[in-house]
Amino acid sequence: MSVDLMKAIYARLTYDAGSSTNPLRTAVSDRIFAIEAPARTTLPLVVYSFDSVDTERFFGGNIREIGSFTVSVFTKAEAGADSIVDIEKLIFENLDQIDVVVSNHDRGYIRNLSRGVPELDGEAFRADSTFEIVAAINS
Amino acid sequence: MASTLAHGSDGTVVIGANYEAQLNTWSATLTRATSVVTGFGDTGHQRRASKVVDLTGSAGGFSKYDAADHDPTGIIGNAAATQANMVLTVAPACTLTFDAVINSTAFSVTQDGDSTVSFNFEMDDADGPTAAWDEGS
Repeated sequence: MSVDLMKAIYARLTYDAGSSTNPLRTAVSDRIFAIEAPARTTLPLVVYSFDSVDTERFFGGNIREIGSFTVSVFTKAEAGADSIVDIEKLIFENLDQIDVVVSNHDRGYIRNLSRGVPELDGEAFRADSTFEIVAAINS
Repeated sequence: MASTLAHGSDGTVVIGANYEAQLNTWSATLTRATSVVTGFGDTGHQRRASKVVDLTGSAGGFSKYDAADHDPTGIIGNAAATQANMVLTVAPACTLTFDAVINSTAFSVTQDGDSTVSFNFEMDDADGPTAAWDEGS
């Protein structure tokens, strides 16, 4: 159920590290979106979406889902490369090697697969980082 | 009665109690020794098969753990020499049941990958495996 995985990722990206926010949320002013951002949203912002969700089956009907997803960060080009690298680092620290709660699953685990590299995308800087979430259903 | 084609999801395996693994594959091979009894004058080989059947195989999947102090089957003390009752299921009501010993347990853990385990077993059953193969059940 990829919707459970999507929600788990969002919950982790927006988790409360204190004062109802976390360093990533502060850096992008809570502009964290699934799949796409609303038109003309102010930069910087973060968008995440799944590339694939594979299912591995076990005897007895249990399954393990492995979702590959990309987290993209967009910043204003005039803010400089430092700005986007700093936010990409926050995303990495937020999501790499992290246990997460996934509804209807017994355990979820997120790890980084590749770090985002800044590139010019129109008038913005963009960096795509890829991650993997693994979650098993044992009952 | 029409036959039904089995597929892998129909299968399952039990390799004793508390084996602490989520299994998704098994394999088993039944063998008999054969002797060539070709005689003079024969123009083709003749063979006779032994009445004694052997069964060896393996089951694999992912390691599990729980709050109880359960160890994976076959790795603690003399447990490797202890018989385990095994049931290999191809499809519902299509099973091979026998006693066996687990002669090796192999773990593989990769930091950025999976944590897998496999159990190799050899039959320890004077009567051989009991086969049930009734797709009508």
